[in-house]
Amino acid sequence: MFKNMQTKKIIFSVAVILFLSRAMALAQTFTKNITATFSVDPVTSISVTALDGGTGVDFGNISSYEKGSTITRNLEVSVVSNTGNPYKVTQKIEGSFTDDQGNSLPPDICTFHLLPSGNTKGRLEVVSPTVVSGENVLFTSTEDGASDKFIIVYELKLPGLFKAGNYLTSITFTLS
Amino acid sequence: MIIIRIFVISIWILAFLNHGGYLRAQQLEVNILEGGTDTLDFGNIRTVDQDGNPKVASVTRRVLIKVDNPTANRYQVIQRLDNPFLSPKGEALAAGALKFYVDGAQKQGIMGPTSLEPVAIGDRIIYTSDNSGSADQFFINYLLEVKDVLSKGRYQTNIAYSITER
Repeated sequence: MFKNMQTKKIIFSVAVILFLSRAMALAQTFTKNITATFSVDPVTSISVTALDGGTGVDFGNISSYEKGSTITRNLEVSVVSNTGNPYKVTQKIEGSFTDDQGNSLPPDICTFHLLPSGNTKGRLEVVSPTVVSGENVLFTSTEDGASDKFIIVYELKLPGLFKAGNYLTSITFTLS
Repeated sequence: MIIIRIFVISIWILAFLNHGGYLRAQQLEVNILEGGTDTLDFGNIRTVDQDGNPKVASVTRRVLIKVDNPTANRYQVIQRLDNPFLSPKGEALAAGALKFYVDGAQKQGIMGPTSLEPVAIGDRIIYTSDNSGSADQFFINYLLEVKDVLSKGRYQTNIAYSITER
């Protein structure tokens, strides 16, 4: 009688252990975690697009225009930046329009001012016509240095006839 | 004395059952085939060309999932994404930038999706075994496609793969 009871206890206990072991095994949900990642390098670039065609500011052949008329050309300046730092765009004019003979046009015949392009977020620093000369800060970005763009409008006012020739000057844009 | 007997008998039976797979749950192995061994690294992303013009950056990566199933019960493999890729400042990558599809299963299980689909937040069943729960392996193909200029830094997220009996 005693031995029979002991055997029953052993069988019962083993059965309970097996049941629990099986239940624990089936209750497991095997999960594996991985980290997915990528990195973005800092980028800062400036590009200029002539909205009236060509690659620069070309006023064309001015002899066909009447005295006192104004010729307008537009440049769009785009800045791409992901550094999070504020920036400024500066324009530097190397000198007045000069032909290959060394003849120069009066410096005040060309002016410029800025317009927003779409939803320009930063601050336009030159909004009224200003003589194209020397160095000017054109644009100050938002505090977080967001990518942005704006338009520069150049206006050439013709006071009279000039000596024939190709008149050139150089404009440099700097991002700082 | 009786406790020792119960212990010995239990160990003996458990060892026998475990060898037969009765007490082992399904397991899966995740092998990152490209971009790293412990991390699914999509590398450096650049969405601006040398002239400052925008460009789309596309990177593909492949992961091999191997399933071991000693139970012979039908199972499912689930992919879970808890949050989108986040920058160190907490900026989230646009939803839909990471896509995936599944291919290469060798048994009669059902794979899904088999064409590119965004990796959405939450659970997604990516494999359902045949009725006999055959062990299998398959590939998860990821495509990261970024169009916007993102803030600089390292972006991270976690992807979890789990296997459950169906």
